[in-house]
Amino acid sequence: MYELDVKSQINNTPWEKTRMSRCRYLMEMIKKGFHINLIIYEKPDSSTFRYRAYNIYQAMQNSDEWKVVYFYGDELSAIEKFLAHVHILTIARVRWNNELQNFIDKAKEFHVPVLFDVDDLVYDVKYFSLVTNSISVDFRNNPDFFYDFWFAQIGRIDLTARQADGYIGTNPFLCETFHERFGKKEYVIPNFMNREQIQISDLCVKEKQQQQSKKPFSLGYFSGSPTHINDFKTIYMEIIQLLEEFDDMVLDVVGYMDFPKEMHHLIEKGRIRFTDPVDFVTLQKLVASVDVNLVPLVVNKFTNCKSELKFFEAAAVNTITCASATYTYSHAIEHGRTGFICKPTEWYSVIKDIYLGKYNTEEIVENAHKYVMKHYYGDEITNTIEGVYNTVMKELTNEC
Amino acid sequence: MNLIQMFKQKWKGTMEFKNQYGWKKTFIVVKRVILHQPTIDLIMPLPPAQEEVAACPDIQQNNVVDVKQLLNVRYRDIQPVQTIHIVADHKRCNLIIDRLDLISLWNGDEMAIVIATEFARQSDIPLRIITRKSVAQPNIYRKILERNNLQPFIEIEFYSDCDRDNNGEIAYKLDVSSEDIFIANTWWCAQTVENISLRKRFFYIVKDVDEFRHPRDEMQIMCCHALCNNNIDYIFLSEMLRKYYKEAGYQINNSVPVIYPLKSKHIQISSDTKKGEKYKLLFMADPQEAQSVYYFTIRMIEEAIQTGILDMDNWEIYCLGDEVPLIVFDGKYMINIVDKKDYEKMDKLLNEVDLLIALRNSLNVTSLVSEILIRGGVVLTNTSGEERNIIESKRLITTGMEEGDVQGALYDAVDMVVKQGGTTEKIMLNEMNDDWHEAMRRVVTYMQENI
Repeated sequence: MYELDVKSQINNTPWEKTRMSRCRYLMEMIKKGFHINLIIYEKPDSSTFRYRAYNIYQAMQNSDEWKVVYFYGDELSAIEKFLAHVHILTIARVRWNNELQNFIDKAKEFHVPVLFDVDDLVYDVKYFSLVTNSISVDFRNNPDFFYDFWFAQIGRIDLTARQADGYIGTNPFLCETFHERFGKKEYVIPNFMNREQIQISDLCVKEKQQQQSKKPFSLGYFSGSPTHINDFKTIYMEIIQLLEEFDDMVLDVVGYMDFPKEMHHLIEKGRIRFTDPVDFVTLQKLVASVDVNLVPLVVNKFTNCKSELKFFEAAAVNTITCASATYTYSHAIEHGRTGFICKPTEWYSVIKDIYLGKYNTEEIVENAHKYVMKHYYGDEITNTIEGVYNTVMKELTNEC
Repeated sequence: MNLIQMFKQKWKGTMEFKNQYGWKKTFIVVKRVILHQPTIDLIMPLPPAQEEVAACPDIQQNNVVDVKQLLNVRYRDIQPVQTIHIVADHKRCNLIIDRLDLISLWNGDEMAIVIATEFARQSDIPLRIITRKSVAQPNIYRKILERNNLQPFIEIEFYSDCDRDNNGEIAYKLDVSSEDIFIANTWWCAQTVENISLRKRFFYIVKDVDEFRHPRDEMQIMCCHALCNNNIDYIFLSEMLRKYYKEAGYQINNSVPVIYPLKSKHIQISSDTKKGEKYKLLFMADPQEAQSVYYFTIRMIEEAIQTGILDMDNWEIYCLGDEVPLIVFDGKYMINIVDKKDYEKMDKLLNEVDLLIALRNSLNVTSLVSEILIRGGVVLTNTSGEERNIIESKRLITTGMEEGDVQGALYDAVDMVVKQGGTTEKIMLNEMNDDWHEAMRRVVTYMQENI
């Protein structure tokens, strides 16, 4: 692992801007004649909101045609007056309520195309069983409560989704599900990185390049949460085999979940180490410090819709990724060249070979870094989003 | 023998016991011996169902037994796997077995895994292995393919509900679609398939006569019901089994395939592999498995020792098992128990075994028979007729189950071990098993035609 001492003043909640400042920005952009996309998200958070609202807002600051501004679910009445001046309204994963319905209806009065943006299958009640099973919702105790809770979550998002004129997903596999369900237009805007991530990543890479990895050899797992236990369980027997074979290998986990009992003795011996969940800036430092980034996933329709962000986040800090063969990871990673796609029974041998130095890991991380910097940040992203919005204008404005 | 000598002998025996089983068990045994308490329950555990029931805290409250919980424990093996239904756009092969761990290497599940893998591979569909009693170990799956000279197969996933609660419920359920094709190799797994498969028909790999496991209890009745199922497509691991099932009235036609376990065609064993001061006798019998005729086997060995057929100055006795009791022959010769889960030790032992006693009341020829023969040992087994269908070797001695016959065969076997010394023998698979790949091709074709 790498011992990094990166110090930075990078803001880990850069999206915190008052409604006033966002409104001022919006008015300014309207005045300057830009095309406007309003993105509505329920509340800011460090995960989906960051990728589907804030990052897009930031990327489009470089656009000469389009600007994006984000607002929250409790601000709708305050921003309704702007609907007359926007060109696209995007509702990102918002649970339906009356206020939202009114807002959407208003947008349609102004013939503004309404897009629904989501990053997984949580938008369709047809997938209720698959979604809840994949995230390991336990219905055994108090089943009615949990059925009602989750049905409300998914059902409300479903109702929002049905109102849209078009759909945005993070990858073609997910977009295909939109097509199956709604039969309307769908568009791909992948997840990508923001400036803050790049800044911290660059600092980490600089420091990493000045040192060699030291023992212990660290495997990093950065999705530590109860919803991911089934994903982790797809590899845990092979990880146990590795940790038992190599005394100087450890598993570093960010987050907490109940590890299977077969791993308890390794936890007691300190071979599995835990760190509390951290903000997205600090996370980059932690990812940079490990030797291998583990991204195990149960492969099913739900996970096939998920984006490849664990790969590009790691590649940005020159950390090798081993990932399951879901749709997005299989397409993003070129096995052996930018990372590794591992199927069950392969994790042990691939990680062992990395540990034993059988791969040119420097070359691999360099390839991965170049690849993600091109495809997950910068001009290509800005152009992709512009392209989508222009297509939406062409395809949907006549229909609205 | 004077008191001091007696004490020394007892102390030596106690220390040997302690070295093998630890202080805790030693203390318990010694205490019971001193207090004249039965040691039977320590060395002869209760049948699993009763033991589990007795240990289950959910069941006994104030000595009142909850029937539902009682039945949950008793019928745990046939609890349905909890599922969610999904829509899939491609077929998937599913094998339901008890376990995929070190024990699988010796308990007959190996062939089921091999067949399922080859079917999936040649049909270009993924394979999912579902285990009910323990979590699957991917390295064991790899080992099984290696042992059978098969290419690695990576379109595989594993699922286990071994940690389901007493009611058979689990948070993370198995997703099942109408494109899932199921294979089972025990009647209780077949029962599970019947409960969860969305396709009517499924495959059943017959490795033994399942009803032989159950001596006239309700499990035997349930076994018959589970297998009297017109939706089953059978695959047999021996001709004798196919013949038995057909004569027993199951729907077996001539197109139902038979495949024997694969072994290398010609193997030469060096006599150097057999080392050590004493000859090693291995018997494979489990008191919890009715067909393994455990008590008969240990009685035959005890008699052989008493009559001098087995000179214990020159022999050590080993028993292969998971939870087999620690027993002492002739009041002084303690068996060595080898844990099936310790693969390295098992493998080493099999190389050193001089004589395997494999007496069984079943039609299944245990894979250990061919393992020991291939590694140069002598095997004594009772005649089912199938042994010679698999492997031809003069070191394979067969006998009926009359006591006199067994003692006579044991005499011949011991004699052969002592006399064979440094000889080697090339052994060959019987012609019936000549082309395993052709047999596998027939099995796969049959399966593809029946999905």
